Amino acid sequence: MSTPIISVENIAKRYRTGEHHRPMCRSIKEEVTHILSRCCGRHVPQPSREFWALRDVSFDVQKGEIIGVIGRNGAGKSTLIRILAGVTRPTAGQVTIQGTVGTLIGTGLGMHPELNGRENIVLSGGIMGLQKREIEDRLEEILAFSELESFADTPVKYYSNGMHARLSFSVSIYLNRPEILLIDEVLAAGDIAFKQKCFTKLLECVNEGTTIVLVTHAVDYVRQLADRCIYLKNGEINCIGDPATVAGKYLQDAQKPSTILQNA
Amino acid sequence: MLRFLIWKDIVVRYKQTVVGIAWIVIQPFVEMLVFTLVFHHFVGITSTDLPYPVFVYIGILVWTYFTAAVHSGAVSLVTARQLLHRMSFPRLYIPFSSIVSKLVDAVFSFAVLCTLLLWFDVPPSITIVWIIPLMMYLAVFAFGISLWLSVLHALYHDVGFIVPYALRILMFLTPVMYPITLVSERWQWLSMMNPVAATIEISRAAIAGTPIPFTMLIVSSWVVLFTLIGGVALFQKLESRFIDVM
Repeated sequence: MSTPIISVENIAKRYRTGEHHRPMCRSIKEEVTHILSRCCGRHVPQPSREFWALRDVSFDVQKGEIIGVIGRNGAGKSTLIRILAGVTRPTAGQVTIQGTVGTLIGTGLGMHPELNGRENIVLSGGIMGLQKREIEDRLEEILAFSELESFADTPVKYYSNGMHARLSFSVSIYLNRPEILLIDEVLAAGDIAFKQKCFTKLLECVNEGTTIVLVTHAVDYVRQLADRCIYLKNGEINCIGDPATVAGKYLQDAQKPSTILQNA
Repeated sequence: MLRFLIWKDIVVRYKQTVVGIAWIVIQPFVEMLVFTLVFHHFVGITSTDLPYPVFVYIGILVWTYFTAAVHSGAVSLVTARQLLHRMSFPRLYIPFSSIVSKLVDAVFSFAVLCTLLLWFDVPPSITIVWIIPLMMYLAVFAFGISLWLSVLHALYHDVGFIVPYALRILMFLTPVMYPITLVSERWQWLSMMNPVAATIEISRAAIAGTPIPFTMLIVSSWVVLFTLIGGVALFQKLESRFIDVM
Protein backbone atom coordinates (compact mmCIF):
# COMPACT_ATOMS: atom_id res chain seq x y z
CA MET A 1 0.00 0.00 0.00
CA SER A 2 1.19 3.52 -0.72
CA THR A 3 1.95 5.93 2.09
CA PRO A 4 -1.26 7.21 3.61
CA ILE A 5 -2.25 10.85 3.13
CA ILE A 6 -3.45 11.04 6.72
CA SER A 7 -1.82 8.98 9.39
CA VAL A 8 -3.14 9.13 12.92
CA GLU A 9 -1.17 7.33 15.59
CA ASN A 10 -2.51 6.79 19.08
CA ILE A 11 -3.84 10.29 19.52
CA ALA A 12 -5.57 11.36 22.67
CA LYS A 13 -7.11 14.63 23.68
CA ARG A 14 -7.77 15.66 27.23
CA TYR A 15 -9.98 18.50 28.28
CA ARG A 16 -10.32 19.64 31.84
CA THR A 17 -13.81 20.15 33.02
CA GLY A 18 -13.72 22.32 36.06
CA GLU A 19 -16.11 24.72 37.69
CA HIS A 20 -18.45 26.72 35.41
CA HIS A 21 -17.98 24.03 32.76
CA ARG A 22 -15.36 26.35 31.42
CA PRO A 23 -12.26 24.20 31.45
CA MET A 24 -9.23 25.97 32.84
CA CYS A 25 -10.94 29.25 32.38
CA ARG A 26 -11.05 30.78 35.80
CA SER A 27 -11.84 34.31 36.72
CA ILE A 28 -8.96 36.32 38.12
CA LYS A 29 -10.55 36.23 41.56
CA GLU A 30 -10.54 32.46 41.56
CA GLU A 31 -7.01 32.41 40.26
CA VAL A 32 -5.85 34.73 43.05
CA THR A 33 -7.56 32.67 45.75
CA HIS A 34 -6.06 29.60 44.20
CA ILE A 35 -2.55 31.04 44.27
CA LEU A 36 -3.02 32.38 47.79
CA SER A 37 -4.21 29.09 49.19
CA ARG A 38 -1.27 27.45 47.52
CA CYS A 39 1.18 29.90 49.08
CA CYS A 40 -0.32 29.42 52.53
CA GLY A 41 0.17 25.71 52.11
CA ARG A 42 -3.52 25.12 52.43
CA HIS A 43 -3.79 23.96 48.90
CA VAL A 44 -6.92 22.00 48.39
CA PRO A 45 -6.79 19.98 45.21
CA GLN A 46 -9.19 21.49 42.71
CA PRO A 47 -12.13 19.35 41.85
CA SER A 48 -11.12 19.59 38.24
CA ARG A 49 -12.10 16.45 36.43
CA GLU A 50 -10.44 15.23 33.35
CA PHE A 51 -12.34 14.37 30.30
CA TRP A 52 -10.75 12.41 27.53
CA ALA A 53 -12.44 13.45 24.33
CA LEU A 54 -10.29 11.01 22.40
CA ARG A 55 -8.27 8.05 23.57
CA ASP A 56 -5.82 5.95 21.67
CA VAL A 57 -7.22 6.64 18.24
CA SER A 58 -5.23 5.36 15.27
CA PHE A 59 -6.10 5.04 11.63
CA ASP A 60 -4.78 5.75 8.17
CA VAL A 61 -6.51 7.34 5.23
CA GLN A 62 -5.39 6.74 1.67
CA LYS A 63 -5.46 9.36 -1.04
CA GLY A 64 -8.81 9.72 -2.76
CA GLU A 65 -10.71 7.89 -0.06
CA ILE A 66 -13.94 9.05 1.51
CA ILE A 67 -13.95 8.12 5.13
CA GLY A 68 -17.05 8.50 7.25
CA VAL A 69 -16.95 9.17 10.96
CA ILE A 70 -20.04 8.39 12.98
CA GLY A 71 -20.84 8.24 16.65
CA ARG A 72 -23.11 9.71 19.27
CA ASN A 73 -22.90 13.29 20.51
CA GLY A 74 -19.76 13.76 22.55
CA ALA A 75 -18.04 10.72 21.07
CA GLY A 76 -15.14 12.90 19.95
CA LYS A 77 -15.97 13.39 16.29
CA SER A 78 -15.58 17.14 16.25
CA THR A 79 -12.45 16.99 18.37
CA LEU A 80 -10.99 14.60 15.83
CA ILE A 81 -11.81 16.98 13.00
CA ARG A 82 -10.28 19.89 14.89
CA ILE A 83 -7.09 17.96 15.44
CA LEU A 84 -6.91 16.98 11.79
CA ALA A 85 -7.52 20.59 10.81
CA GLY A 86 -4.60 21.63 12.99
CA VAL A 87 -6.78 23.90 15.07
CA THR A 88 -5.91 22.16 18.30
CA ARG A 89 -3.10 19.84 19.23
CA PRO A 90 -3.61 16.35 20.59
CA THR A 91 -2.54 15.77 24.19
CA ALA A 92 -0.70 12.67 23.09
CA GLY A 93 0.01 10.85 19.86
CA GLN A 94 0.90 12.01 16.42
CA VAL A 95 -0.89 13.10 13.28
CA THR A 96 0.93 13.17 9.97
CA ILE A 97 -0.79 14.84 7.06
CA GLN A 98 0.64 15.05 3.57
CA GLY A 99 -1.22 17.77 1.79
CA THR A 100 -3.32 20.85 2.17
CA VAL A 101 -6.31 20.69 4.45
CA GLY A 102 -9.60 22.51 4.01
CA THR A 103 -12.49 22.47 6.41
CA LEU A 104 -16.20 22.64 5.97
CA ILE A 105 -17.46 22.97 9.49
CA GLY A 106 -20.81 24.44 10.38
CA THR A 107 -21.43 27.83 8.84
CA GLY A 108 -19.05 29.47 6.42
CA LEU A 109 -15.55 30.54 7.26
CA GLY A 110 -15.54 33.97 8.77
CA MET A 111 -18.91 34.85 7.31
CA HIS A 112 -20.29 38.03 8.67
CA PRO A 113 -24.03 38.59 9.17
CA GLU A 114 -23.89 42.25 8.15
CA LEU A 115 -22.32 41.56 4.79
CA ASN A 116 -24.34 40.35 1.84
CA GLY A 117 -23.98 37.04 0.05
CA ARG A 118 -21.63 38.32 -2.60
CA GLU A 119 -19.33 40.03 -0.10
CA ASN A 120 -19.26 36.97 2.09
CA ILE A 121 -18.18 34.80 -0.81
CA VAL A 122 -15.28 37.14 -1.50
CA LEU A 123 -14.43 37.28 2.18
CA SER A 124 -14.46 33.52 2.69
CA GLY A 125 -12.38 33.01 -0.40
CA GLY A 126 -9.91 35.58 0.79
CA ILE A 127 -9.62 33.90 4.14
CA MET A 128 -8.93 30.63 2.37
CA GLY A 129 -6.06 32.40 0.68
CA LEU A 130 -7.41 33.02 -2.81
CA GLN A 131 -6.84 36.10 -4.91
CA LYS A 132 -9.72 38.46 -5.48
CA ARG A 133 -9.63 37.76 -9.20
CA GLU A 134 -9.99 34.02 -8.77
CA ILE A 135 -12.94 34.49 -6.47
CA GLU A 136 -14.73 36.92 -8.75
CA ASP A 137 -14.29 34.55 -11.65
CA ARG A 138 -16.23 31.89 -9.80
CA LEU A 139 -18.71 34.15 -8.06
CA GLU A 140 -21.64 33.63 -10.42
CA GLU A 141 -21.01 29.91 -10.50
CA ILE A 142 -21.19 29.77 -6.71
CA LEU A 143 -24.38 31.78 -6.58
CA ALA A 144 -25.92 29.55 -9.20
CA PHE A 145 -24.96 26.38 -7.37
CA SER A 146 -26.34 27.68 -4.10
CA GLU A 147 -29.51 28.86 -5.87
CA LEU A 148 -29.16 32.20 -4.14
CA GLU A 149 -28.84 34.52 -7.15
CA SER A 150 -31.83 36.60 -6.12
CA PHE A 151 -30.48 37.04 -2.59
CA ALA A 152 -26.90 37.87 -3.51
CA ASP A 153 -27.24 41.43 -2.26
CA THR A 154 -29.15 40.63 0.91
CA PRO A 155 -27.18 40.68 4.15
CA VAL A 156 -26.57 37.15 5.35
CA LYS A 157 -28.28 37.90 8.66
CA TYR A 158 -31.62 37.72 6.87
CA TYR A 159 -30.86 34.30 5.40
CA SER A 160 -32.67 31.23 6.63
CA ASN A 161 -30.68 28.31 8.03
CA GLY A 162 -31.00 26.44 4.79
CA MET A 163 -29.83 29.39 2.72
CA HIS A 164 -26.92 29.89 5.04
CA ALA A 165 -25.89 26.26 4.78
CA ARG A 166 -26.22 26.31 1.01
CA LEU A 167 -24.05 29.36 0.70
CA SER A 168 -21.40 27.94 3.04
CA PHE A 169 -21.26 24.66 1.26
CA SER A 170 -21.10 26.19 -2.20
CA VAL A 171 -18.35 28.57 -1.19
CA SER A 172 -16.27 25.83 0.32
CA ILE A 173 -16.69 23.39 -2.49
CA TYR A 174 -15.96 25.90 -5.23
CA LEU A 175 -13.24 27.96 -3.68
CA ASN A 176 -11.60 25.51 -1.38
CA ARG A 177 -9.73 22.94 -3.38
CA PRO A 178 -7.59 21.30 -0.78
CA GLU A 179 -6.15 17.84 -1.07
CA ILE A 180 -7.96 16.85 2.08
CA LEU A 181 -11.44 18.10 2.84
CA LEU A 182 -12.78 17.79 6.37
CA ILE A 183 -16.55 17.99 6.59
CA ASP A 184 -18.38 18.24 9.88
CA GLU A 185 -22.13 17.98 9.71
CA VAL A 186 -22.81 20.56 7.06
CA LEU A 187 -25.11 18.53 4.94
CA ALA A 188 -27.73 18.51 7.67
CA ALA A 189 -29.47 21.63 6.41
CA GLY A 190 -30.65 21.97 2.85
CA ASP A 191 -33.29 19.93 1.08
CA ILE A 192 -32.90 16.57 -0.59
CA ALA A 193 -32.37 17.99 -4.05
CA PHE A 194 -29.59 20.23 -2.83
CA LYS A 195 -27.99 17.39 -0.92
CA GLN A 196 -27.92 15.25 -4.00
CA LYS A 197 -26.25 18.10 -5.83
CA CYS A 198 -23.66 18.32 -3.05
CA PHE A 199 -22.97 14.60 -3.23
CA THR A 200 -22.41 14.78 -6.93
CA LYS A 201 -20.05 17.67 -6.43
CA LEU A 202 -18.18 15.87 -3.66
CA LEU A 203 -17.77 12.76 -5.78
CA GLU A 204 -16.47 14.96 -8.57
CA CYS A 205 -13.83 16.29 -6.17
CA VAL A 206 -12.89 12.78 -5.14
CA ASN A 207 -12.45 11.81 -8.77
CA GLU A 208 -10.04 14.68 -9.05
CA GLY A 209 -8.07 13.22 -6.17
CA THR A 210 -9.48 14.91 -3.08
CA THR A 211 -9.60 12.91 0.12
CA ILE A 212 -12.64 13.47 2.30
CA VAL A 213 -13.23 12.93 5.99
CA LEU A 214 -16.94 13.20 6.56
CA VAL A 215 -18.40 13.53 10.04
CA THR A 216 -22.13 13.12 10.21
CA HIS A 217 -25.09 11.75 12.11
CA ALA A 218 -26.79 10.81 8.91
CA VAL A 219 -25.80 7.17 8.62
CA ASP A 220 -27.42 6.90 5.23
CA TYR A 221 -24.94 9.32 3.69
CA VAL A 222 -22.06 7.36 5.06
CA ARG A 223 -23.45 4.19 3.56
CA GLN A 224 -24.00 5.97 0.29
CA LEU A 225 -20.73 7.88 0.02
CA ALA A 226 -17.99 6.48 2.19
CA ASP A 227 -15.40 3.89 1.25
CA ARG A 228 -14.70 3.16 4.87
CA CYS A 229 -16.23 4.20 8.12
CA ILE A 230 -15.07 4.84 11.68
CA TYR A 231 -17.43 4.42 14.58
CA LEU A 232 -16.32 6.49 17.56
CA LYS A 233 -17.69 5.58 20.95
CA ASN A 234 -16.72 7.55 24.06
CA GLY A 235 -13.56 8.78 22.44
CA GLU A 236 -12.35 5.41 21.24
CA ILE A 237 -12.63 3.66 17.94
CA ASN A 238 -15.31 1.06 18.37
CA CYS A 239 -14.92 -0.34 14.93
CA ILE A 240 -13.58 0.63 11.58
CA GLY A 241 -14.15 -0.80 8.14
CA ASP A 242 -16.90 -1.38 5.62
CA PRO A 243 -19.54 1.39 5.95
CA ALA A 244 -22.52 -0.92 5.90
CA THR A 245 -21.15 -3.13 8.67
CA VAL A 246 -19.94 -0.24 10.84
CA ALA A 247 -23.15 1.71 10.37
CA GLY A 248 -25.09 -1.40 11.28
CA LYS A 249 -23.13 -1.75 14.49
CA TYR A 250 -23.73 1.92 15.33
CA LEU A 251 -27.45 1.64 14.75
CA GLN A 252 -27.59 -1.50 16.82
CA ASP A 253 -25.86 0.30 19.71
CA ALA A 254 -28.19 3.25 19.33
CA GLN A 255 -31.18 0.95 19.74
CA LYS A 256 -30.03 -0.36 23.11
CA PRO A 257 -30.73 2.60 25.43
CA SER A 258 -34.22 3.01 24.05
CA THR A 259 -35.07 -0.63 24.69
CA ILE A 260 -33.88 -0.28 28.27
CA LEU A 261 -36.13 2.73 28.65
CA GLN A 262 -39.04 0.79 27.31
CA ASN A 263 -38.42 -2.04 29.72
CA ALA A 264 -38.27 0.25 32.73
CA MET B 1 -5.71 36.29 3.92
CA LEU B 2 -4.54 39.08 6.19
CA ARG B 3 -5.77 41.60 3.65
CA PHE B 4 -9.25 40.14 3.68
CA LEU B 5 -9.43 40.08 7.45
CA ILE B 6 -8.58 43.78 7.53
CA TRP B 7 -11.02 44.51 4.73
CA LYS B 8 -13.77 42.71 6.61
CA ASP B 9 -13.16 44.70 9.79
CA ILE B 10 -13.33 47.96 7.89
CA VAL B 11 -16.38 47.18 5.76
CA VAL B 12 -18.35 45.81 8.67
CA ARG B 13 -17.54 48.81 10.79
CA TYR B 14 -18.80 51.30 8.25
CA LYS B 15 -21.86 49.28 7.34
CA GLN B 16 -23.20 49.02 10.84
CA THR B 17 -23.49 52.73 11.45
CA VAL B 18 -25.98 54.79 9.53
CA VAL B 19 -23.89 57.93 9.51
CA GLY B 20 -20.78 55.90 8.71
CA ILE B 21 -17.77 58.06 8.13
CA ALA B 22 -19.49 61.16 9.47
CA TRP B 23 -19.63 59.52 12.85
CA ILE B 24 -15.90 58.96 12.93
CA VAL B 25 -15.35 62.61 12.11
CA ILE B 26 -17.93 64.07 14.47
CA GLN B 27 -16.82 62.14 17.55
CA PRO B 28 -13.33 63.60 18.01
CA PHE B 29 -14.55 66.97 16.80
CA VAL B 30 -17.15 67.24 19.54
CA GLU B 31 -14.60 66.01 22.05
CA MET B 32 -12.29 68.75 20.89
CA LEU B 33 -15.00 71.37 21.47
CA VAL B 34 -15.74 70.05 24.95
CA PHE B 35 -12.09 69.79 25.94
CA THR B 36 -11.40 73.28 24.70
CA LEU B 37 -14.32 74.64 26.68
CA VAL B 38 -13.49 72.76 29.88
CA PHE B 39 -9.71 72.61 29.99
CA HIS B 40 -8.87 75.80 28.13
CA HIS B 41 -11.63 78.21 29.11
CA PHE B 42 -12.69 76.81 32.51
CA VAL B 43 -9.47 75.35 33.89
CA GLY B 44 -7.14 77.66 32.01
CA ILE B 45 -4.65 75.25 30.48
CA THR B 46 -2.77 76.93 27.67
CA SER B 47 -0.63 75.61 24.87
CA THR B 48 2.45 77.38 23.61
CA ASP B 49 3.04 76.75 19.94
CA LEU B 50 -0.39 75.85 18.62
CA PRO B 51 -3.90 77.19 19.22
CA TYR B 52 -5.44 75.12 21.99
CA PRO B 53 -8.16 73.51 19.82
CA VAL B 54 -5.56 72.27 17.35
CA PHE B 55 -3.28 71.25 20.20
CA VAL B 56 -5.96 69.22 21.94
CA TYR B 57 -7.28 67.76 18.70
CA ILE B 58 -3.91 66.16 17.95
CA GLY B 59 -4.02 64.58 21.39
CA ILE B 60 -7.55 63.33 20.79
CA LEU B 61 -6.70 61.94 17.36
CA VAL B 62 -3.79 59.93 18.68
CA TRP B 63 -5.57 58.85 21.80
CA THR B 64 -8.74 57.82 19.97
CA TYR B 65 -6.75 55.59 17.68
CA PHE B 66 -4.88 54.07 20.58
CA THR B 67 -7.98 53.22 22.62
CA ALA B 68 -9.90 51.94 19.64
CA ALA B 69 -7.00 49.74 18.58
CA VAL B 70 -6.27 48.34 22.03
CA HIS B 71 -9.93 47.79 22.70
CA SER B 72 -10.64 45.87 19.53
CA GLY B 73 -7.30 44.10 19.73
CA ALA B 74 -8.03 42.88 23.24
CA VAL B 75 -11.32 41.26 22.33
CA SER B 76 -10.22 40.20 18.85
CA LEU B 77 -9.43 36.58 19.64
CA VAL B 78 -12.69 35.96 21.44
CA THR B 79 -14.60 37.67 18.64
CA ALA B 80 -12.89 35.54 16.02
CA ARG B 81 -13.23 32.26 17.88
CA GLN B 82 -15.49 30.74 15.25
CA LEU B 83 -12.82 31.23 12.66
CA LEU B 84 -10.08 30.10 15.03
CA HIS B 85 -11.96 26.90 15.74
CA ARG B 86 -12.29 26.02 12.09
CA MET B 87 -9.08 26.80 10.43
CA SER B 88 -5.46 26.68 11.24
CA PHE B 89 -3.61 29.85 10.32
CA PRO B 90 -1.20 32.18 12.08
CA ARG B 91 -3.32 33.37 14.96
CA LEU B 92 -1.33 36.56 15.24
CA TYR B 93 -3.26 37.73 12.19
CA ILE B 94 -6.33 38.29 14.27
CA PRO B 95 -5.09 41.00 16.65
CA PHE B 96 -2.93 42.40 13.86
CA SER B 97 -5.81 42.96 11.47
CA SER B 98 -7.90 44.70 14.10
CA ILE B 99 -5.06 47.10 14.87
CA VAL B 100 -4.50 47.93 11.23
CA SER B 101 -8.16 48.36 10.33
CA LYS B 102 -8.52 51.03 12.99
CA LEU B 103 -5.93 53.13 11.20
CA VAL B 104 -8.59 54.01 8.65
CA ASP B 105 -10.48 55.97 11.28
CA ALA B 106 -7.31 57.89 12.02
CA VAL B 107 -7.01 58.89 8.37
CA PHE B 108 -10.45 60.52 8.47
CA SER B 109 -9.61 62.26 11.72
CA PHE B 110 -6.46 63.52 10.08
CA ALA B 111 -8.52 65.14 7.34
CA VAL B 112 -10.36 67.05 10.03
CA LEU B 113 -7.04 68.09 11.52
CA CYS B 114 -6.02 69.59 8.19
CA THR B 115 -9.28 71.54 8.10
CA LEU B 116 -8.60 72.81 11.60
CA LEU B 117 -5.14 73.94 10.60
CA LEU B 118 -6.64 75.96 7.76
CA TRP B 119 -9.37 77.37 9.98
CA PHE B 120 -6.92 78.57 12.61
CA ASP B 121 -4.53 79.75 9.95
CA VAL B 122 -1.69 77.57 11.15
CA PRO B 123 0.81 77.09 8.35
CA PRO B 124 1.69 73.41 8.75
CA SER B 125 5.38 72.73 8.89
CA ILE B 126 6.75 70.24 6.38
CA THR B 127 7.60 68.02 9.34
CA ILE B 128 3.88 67.16 9.48
CA VAL B 129 4.77 64.04 7.50
CA TRP B 130 6.25 62.77 10.74
CA ILE B 131 2.75 61.88 11.78
CA ILE B 132 2.77 58.85 9.48
CA PRO B 133 5.75 57.02 11.02
CA LEU B 134 4.52 58.15 14.42
CA MET B 135 1.15 56.48 13.92
CA MET B 136 2.96 53.34 12.76
CA TYR B 137 5.01 53.49 15.90
CA LEU B 138 1.88 53.77 17.98
CA ALA B 139 0.26 50.94 16.04
CA VAL B 140 3.19 48.70 16.92
CA PHE B 141 2.75 49.56 20.57
CA ALA B 142 -1.00 48.95 20.37
CA PHE B 143 -0.27 45.60 18.72
CA GLY B 144 2.14 44.63 21.50
CA ILE B 145 -0.41 45.49 24.16
CA SER B 146 -3.16 43.72 22.25
CA LEU B 147 -1.14 40.53 22.21
CA TRP B 148 -1.00 40.55 25.98
CA LEU B 149 -4.60 41.54 26.43
CA SER B 150 -6.14 39.30 23.80
CA VAL B 151 -4.52 36.19 25.24
CA LEU B 152 -5.43 37.17 28.77
CA HIS B 153 -8.95 37.97 27.66
CA ALA B 154 -9.30 34.55 26.11
CA LEU B 155 -8.21 32.95 29.38
CA TYR B 156 -9.85 35.36 31.82
CA HIS B 157 -12.94 37.13 30.76
CA ASP B 158 -12.48 39.75 33.48
CA VAL B 159 -10.01 41.47 31.20
CA GLY B 160 -12.91 42.65 29.09
CA PHE B 161 -14.15 44.75 32.01
CA ILE B 162 -10.76 46.01 33.09
CA VAL B 163 -9.53 47.27 29.73
CA PRO B 164 -11.91 50.22 29.23
CA TYR B 165 -11.39 51.25 32.83
CA ALA B 166 -7.61 51.06 32.63
CA LEU B 167 -7.64 53.01 29.39
CA ARG B 168 -9.65 55.80 30.96
CA ILE B 169 -7.20 56.11 33.80
CA LEU B 170 -4.30 56.05 31.38
CA MET B 171 -5.86 58.91 29.45
CA PHE B 172 -5.42 61.25 32.41
CA LEU B 173 -1.82 60.17 32.76
CA THR B 174 -1.19 60.96 29.11
CA PRO B 175 -0.78 64.55 27.94
CA VAL B 176 -3.92 64.61 25.82
CA MET B 177 -5.49 67.77 27.18
CA TYR B 178 -2.37 69.31 28.74
CA PRO B 179 1.16 69.83 27.44
CA ILE B 180 3.86 67.60 28.85
CA THR B 181 5.65 70.69 30.16
CA LEU B 182 2.91 70.89 32.76
CA VAL B 183 4.08 67.63 34.28
CA SER B 184 6.38 68.33 37.22
CA GLU B 185 10.08 67.57 36.96
CA ARG B 186 9.70 64.64 39.37
CA TRP B 187 7.23 62.78 37.18
CA GLN B 188 8.62 63.64 33.78
CA TRP B 189 10.33 60.24 33.51
CA LEU B 190 6.98 58.52 33.72
CA SER B 191 5.62 60.52 30.80
CA MET B 192 8.83 59.90 28.90
CA MET B 193 8.23 56.17 29.10
CA ASN B 194 4.71 56.44 27.76
CA PRO B 195 4.74 55.73 24.01
CA VAL B 196 1.35 57.38 23.59
CA ALA B 197 2.65 60.54 25.22
CA ALA B 198 5.66 60.44 22.93
CA THR B 199 3.44 60.10 19.86
CA ILE B 200 1.24 63.00 20.90
CA GLU B 201 4.06 65.34 21.90
CA ILE B 202 6.15 64.63 18.83
CA SER B 203 3.15 65.04 16.53
CA ARG B 204 2.47 68.42 18.09
CA ALA B 205 6.07 69.50 17.69
CA ALA B 206 6.12 68.22 14.13
CA ILE B 207 3.01 70.16 13.18
CA ALA B 208 4.09 73.33 14.95
CA GLY B 209 7.55 73.02 13.47
CA THR B 210 9.30 73.20 16.84
CA PRO B 211 12.27 70.95 17.68
CA ILE B 212 11.24 67.33 18.00
CA PRO B 213 11.82 65.79 21.46
CA PHE B 214 13.78 62.77 20.34
CA THR B 215 14.61 61.63 23.85
CA MET B 216 10.95 60.77 24.37
CA LEU B 217 11.01 58.62 21.29
CA ILE B 218 14.15 56.79 22.34
CA VAL B 219 13.06 56.20 25.92
CA SER B 220 9.56 55.08 25.01
CA SER B 221 10.68 52.85 22.17
CA TRP B 222 12.27 50.58 24.76
CA VAL B 223 8.87 50.23 26.33
CA VAL B 224 7.39 49.42 22.94
CA LEU B 225 10.09 46.88 22.24
CA PHE B 226 9.64 45.05 25.52
CA THR B 227 5.86 45.09 25.23
CA LEU B 228 6.07 43.61 21.76
CA ILE B 229 8.64 40.92 22.54
CA GLY B 230 6.84 39.98 25.74
CA GLY B 231 3.53 39.93 23.89
CA VAL B 232 4.77 37.68 21.12
CA ALA B 233 6.38 35.34 23.65
CA LEU B 234 3.24 35.13 25.75
CA PHE B 235 1.08 34.65 22.69
CA GLN B 236 3.17 31.78 21.43
CA LYS B 237 3.44 30.16 24.81
CA LEU B 238 -0.28 30.15 25.46
CA GLU B 239 -1.41 29.68 21.88
CA SER B 240 -2.23 26.02 22.22
CA ARG B 241 -3.93 26.60 25.53
CA PHE B 242 -6.32 29.41 24.81
CA ILE B 243 -7.72 27.76 21.73
CA ASP B 244 -9.15 24.95 23.88
CA VAL B 245 -10.74 27.16 26.49
CA MET B 246 -12.23 29.87 24.34
